[in-house]
Amino acid sequence: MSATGFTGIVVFVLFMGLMIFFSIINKDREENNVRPIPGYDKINQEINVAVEDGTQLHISLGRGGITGPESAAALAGLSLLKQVIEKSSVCDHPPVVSTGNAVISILAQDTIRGSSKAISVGDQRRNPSGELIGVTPFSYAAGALTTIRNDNVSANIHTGWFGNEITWLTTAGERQSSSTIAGTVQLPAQAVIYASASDPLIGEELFAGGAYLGAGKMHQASISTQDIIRWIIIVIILGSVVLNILGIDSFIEDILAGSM
Amino acid sequence: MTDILCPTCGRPNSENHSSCDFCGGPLGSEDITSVQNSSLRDDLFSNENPNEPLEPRESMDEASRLDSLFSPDPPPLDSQKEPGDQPPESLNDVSRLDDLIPAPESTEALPEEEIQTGESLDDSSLRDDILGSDDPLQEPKPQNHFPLDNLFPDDISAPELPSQDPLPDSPPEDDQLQEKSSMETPGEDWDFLTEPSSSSGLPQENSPAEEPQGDWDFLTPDPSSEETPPQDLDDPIPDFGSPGFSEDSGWLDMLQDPETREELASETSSDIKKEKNQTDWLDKIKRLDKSTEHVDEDSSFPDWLSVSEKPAEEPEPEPTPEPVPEIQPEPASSDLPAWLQMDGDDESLNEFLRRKDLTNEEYKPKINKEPTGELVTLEDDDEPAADLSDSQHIKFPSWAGNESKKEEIPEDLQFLAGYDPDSPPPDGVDALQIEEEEYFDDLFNEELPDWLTSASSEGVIKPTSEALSQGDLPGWVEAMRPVVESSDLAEEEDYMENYGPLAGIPSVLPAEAEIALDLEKAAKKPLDLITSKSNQEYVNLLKKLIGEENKAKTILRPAPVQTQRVLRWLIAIIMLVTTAGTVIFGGNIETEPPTQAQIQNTGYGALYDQIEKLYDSQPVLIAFDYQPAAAGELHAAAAGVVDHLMEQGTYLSFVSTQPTGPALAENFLETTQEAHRYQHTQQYINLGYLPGESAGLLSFVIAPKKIIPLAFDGSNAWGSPPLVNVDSINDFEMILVITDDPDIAKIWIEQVGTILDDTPLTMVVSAQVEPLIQPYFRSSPQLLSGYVSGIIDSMIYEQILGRPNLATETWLPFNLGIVIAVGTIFIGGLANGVLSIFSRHRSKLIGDTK
Amino acid sequence: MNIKIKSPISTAIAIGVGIVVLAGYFIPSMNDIRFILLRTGLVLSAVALLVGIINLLTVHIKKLGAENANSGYSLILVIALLVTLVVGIIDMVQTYLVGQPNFQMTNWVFTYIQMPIETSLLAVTTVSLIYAAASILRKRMDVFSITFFFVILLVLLGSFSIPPATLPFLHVIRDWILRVPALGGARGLLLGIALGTITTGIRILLGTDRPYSD
Repeated sequence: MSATGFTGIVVFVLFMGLMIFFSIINKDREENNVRPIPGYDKINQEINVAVEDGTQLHISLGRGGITGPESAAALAGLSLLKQVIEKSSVCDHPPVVSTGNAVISILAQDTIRGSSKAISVGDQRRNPSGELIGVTPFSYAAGALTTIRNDNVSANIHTGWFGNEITWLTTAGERQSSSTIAGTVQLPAQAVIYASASDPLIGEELFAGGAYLGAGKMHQASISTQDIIRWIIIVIILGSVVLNILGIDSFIEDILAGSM
Repeated sequence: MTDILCPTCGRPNSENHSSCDFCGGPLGSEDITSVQNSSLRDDLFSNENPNEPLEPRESMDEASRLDSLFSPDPPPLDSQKEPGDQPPESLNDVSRLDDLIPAPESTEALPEEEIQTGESLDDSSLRDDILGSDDPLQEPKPQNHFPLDNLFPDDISAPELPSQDPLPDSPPEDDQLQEKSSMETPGEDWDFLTEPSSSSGLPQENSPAEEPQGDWDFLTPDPSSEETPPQDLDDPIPDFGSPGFSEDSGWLDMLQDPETREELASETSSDIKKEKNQTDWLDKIKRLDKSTEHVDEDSSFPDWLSVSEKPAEEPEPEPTPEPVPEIQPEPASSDLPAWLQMDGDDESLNEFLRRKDLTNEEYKPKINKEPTGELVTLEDDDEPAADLSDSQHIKFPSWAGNESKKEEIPEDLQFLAGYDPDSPPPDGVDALQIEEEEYFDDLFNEELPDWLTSASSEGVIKPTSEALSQGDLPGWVEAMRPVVESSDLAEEEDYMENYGPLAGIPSVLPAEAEIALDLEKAAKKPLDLITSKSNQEYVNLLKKLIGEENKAKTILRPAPVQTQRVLRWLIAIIMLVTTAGTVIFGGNIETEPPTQAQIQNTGYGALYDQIEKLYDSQPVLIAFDYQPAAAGELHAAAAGVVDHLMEQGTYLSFVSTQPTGPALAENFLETTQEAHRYQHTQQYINLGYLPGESAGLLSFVIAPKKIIPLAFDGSNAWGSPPLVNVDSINDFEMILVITDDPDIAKIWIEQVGTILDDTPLTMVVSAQVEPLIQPYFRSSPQLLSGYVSGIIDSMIYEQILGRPNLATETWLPFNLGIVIAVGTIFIGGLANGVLSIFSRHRSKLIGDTK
Repeated sequence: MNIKIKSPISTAIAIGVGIVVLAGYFIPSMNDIRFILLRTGLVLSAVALLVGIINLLTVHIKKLGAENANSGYSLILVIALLVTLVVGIIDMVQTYLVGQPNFQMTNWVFTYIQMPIETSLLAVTTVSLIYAAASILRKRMDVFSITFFFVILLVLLGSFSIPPATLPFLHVIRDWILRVPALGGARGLLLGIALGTITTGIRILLGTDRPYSD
């Protein structure tokens, strides 16, 4: 086993252990001690508005698949989709779901079906569709514009894997005077949504949706685990800087080179 | 001229008045919602049996609504099994019901049995809530039952009840017979209501006197429920110890002649089985709900009416109309519950109450001196329809509105009207009937149900005041009545009762406070209170708080960001004009080539060095991993690099993890490298699309020949001499990735670059990707051997190469575009910033002003 | 035929496959199994693409109708999809059956229809980005937005390089921004995203997140 493989296993076991640990100790805790993220507060608010106004939400899951690094963003979007469907089950109109990837489209429809079944929404006509709009970035963006410009859509939630084309979606939402909550893992697109979306989700905030929308204790445990690991990384970075300043940096380089 | 009693205040009004002259309340002759209700009924039941009288359903609606008001959530089955062990909420409901039924006179005057009856009345409605109608263990009910009878589980019988009856032998014999008869004929007395046209040929020839009670038959007390043992619920074939209570509208049976009912019970029991199906509308609704989904969506169903149990909680449907409950042998008279048994004192009291109930306008002021026997005589005819006052008609459902005449009733239905020439007339009206009506008066005088008010307008039976017996007061009351001239009294100062036993007596407290009649007027009356300043402040504060509560607060939606369409168009036009004009009319810009010092430690310098190491026919893998939209930038950025590779004579292999990549590669060669005239499979091979994104790329890295055996055009991908010896990705001499996506660049670096041995990994990327790949180039070990970022690096690369290409051609428009973008952003940003500051300042001023 | 795999079984399959692929990344001896699973995943991805396109086609066919205001767009999409499909099939038949390897018609569609359209859309995106940068101070007037605004200007000006007007110090500033704050911030964001990615993957492996459940 290589040093990289060993490091990977250690990191994996560490993450899993912390997540299970936090999910156990947080089992009886009702309060959710997480910092407020305006984007998720806005989602909850928009769900309530949709219920009151009889409008509907538009959830776009991007064009990320499940066989690459972008799969995490896509799966986070699916998790958020599930929560939104459950929360908005009393809406007159179900959320509209659009995807730009075939696999995510199938998973989105599966999630919709499962969530609708769980909340006993037997009417298939009230279920959101989860259709594939386009397989290329701009065909997807252009296809989603039709949905965003629907007058009955009160808010747009873009979570998943987007590129610069997300500016089309955010700008269209702005022109419709509808709220736009957007999050992606692509850094250039994050700069775009910071400038154009009303409520951007920056960085790892995209993956915290479950903890903020009440998806379960494991999602809260994920947040706690990320915080713990983040502090560990900060300590390692600062320690490396100190070692580098002190000239003891070959040890770190050997570890990174896998020659340990 | 006939007067109509106001259902609100009980005072007489002219017949042609629609509202009360005294209290302003509606006289109940007009029903606004009757049309809606009828449409609702039509939606619900018109397809089932158009001739079927609908009013029982309406009455069921009202009854269900009442039940739902009292107990919106049915208790679990455990509580159903033990009716006596009722949940606290249900008990509260009972108390609420008691509050709603202010019958102090009755309860005070009635003996103990009657009070128990009143309690049983409450219990019956409570039982509706607790037991519900969906008991899976319930015996299939006769379909011509009054609908609300379905709410009573059949298995709740009281065979043991007589042993608990405090006065088992006290009721008169007639009453016992009536009760026995009612028990023997479960539901048959409603046959004429089920199919009036088919069964009798005289539709709606019903006895109006009976129907008001029938409408409220759900309130028919069933004391046996409390004594029912819990295990009875588990009995699939319950013991109908008292079917009359559990299935029949007992009040109607009381009006029948016992013998007639016994005969009819035996004659019509088989016919009833079929006819019952047609009136059991509640079961129909439930069946619809369970079998179809669209019933749930039917907005014509009120929420409280729609059966919305969850599937897991739904009992098994009872679709079988065949089984009919066996008619149990009649119980002994001692089995009758206490509340049905009456003694002589009860009869006198009942008679008094009945007279009170039958009072009308003519009766009340005149204080008729006629003997009470006349009333008894009329009552003996069992023709109460003609004797009822308008106030009583108000309670009639519409199907009871048609005036019925005794001589029009066929013989087989005369028993329903209580007309039986063979049987001796009963001594009086059953006490229960009177008491129920009193309850109903008290309950619903304020708010009459829609179907009741509509009934009065449709089929009001004209009162025959002459034939109506003039009510009389008991002698001791009459003797106490003072004779006072009304002119002696000032109307404002003294109040004279004009209704009830105290009619004509001045200076009595009114039955209803004046404040109750006109709340607004009462509220405006000044109160002589001495209030301090602080008290007044508190009052004002309270008024303000209350007033604010009534005001609907407008939730201000956050002001949407207005789109500056003009700015948009301005930006687009300027960009288009300048760049297009520069491309068309502009030329190349002569720039100084970079020095050797500038090239060192740069990405393009390292890439140039890597390509310089290559020579003829060495295999190079080029990944076209960008979208067609980015072709404008990346074609220009990669043109010089690929040109350099072709100059070196390398054998190029194209692959792409994007579906459009293979076509992009062909297009790239055609548009930028046409001079080299590379031929497919001879100088290059297009391996085509590699599905699976990073997973596919990983598989390709491990075994490229297995993953892509054929080329884009179907030829052997690995048959060319340079590729024969390529078994893994390490066998390529160099890998060049062209991408506009930082994530794809990361995939190549982290998934492929980490397993490469000596093969350099290089990139041509969009300018937006550079910050993310730069660390891999500058890190140690170096995962990225060289890169070109955007048009800037590419133009420098072409300068180094000495072969101007696309990047050099687009350099001027590119720089002009930058200038325009900077200028637009700067001006627009400053303008928007100033506007934002002014807007905030203005909003702040407005807020301060408010 | 409606094959419906119960949720526990599908969950077990998903968890098992995920663990094997992950272990194969760390343990070289499991590479073969991992490779088989990856190849299977590739085939399924391609099939999913086909399924997605069929779904896209059916959805827009359903949208055809007078009651739908956007039915015209759906009609164009259906026609374009079918035409492209027919063109691709003809090219494939010529290539694989007739033995004349050329994808001229497909390349023509790509070169003269798809690429100009997408390039134009990217150009419009440029306008949208410029507009967004210009209007950010109206949306959020805070320190971060002001910083964002001026960094955009500096980086763009640092990219400007026409000899008489070139300002060398702007190049230095641009390079410094790209190498230090932008790179540091990007790394911080990437670390956070990586942490979120790992926890999301672990939740999938633990079965707490089941997008495949039914």
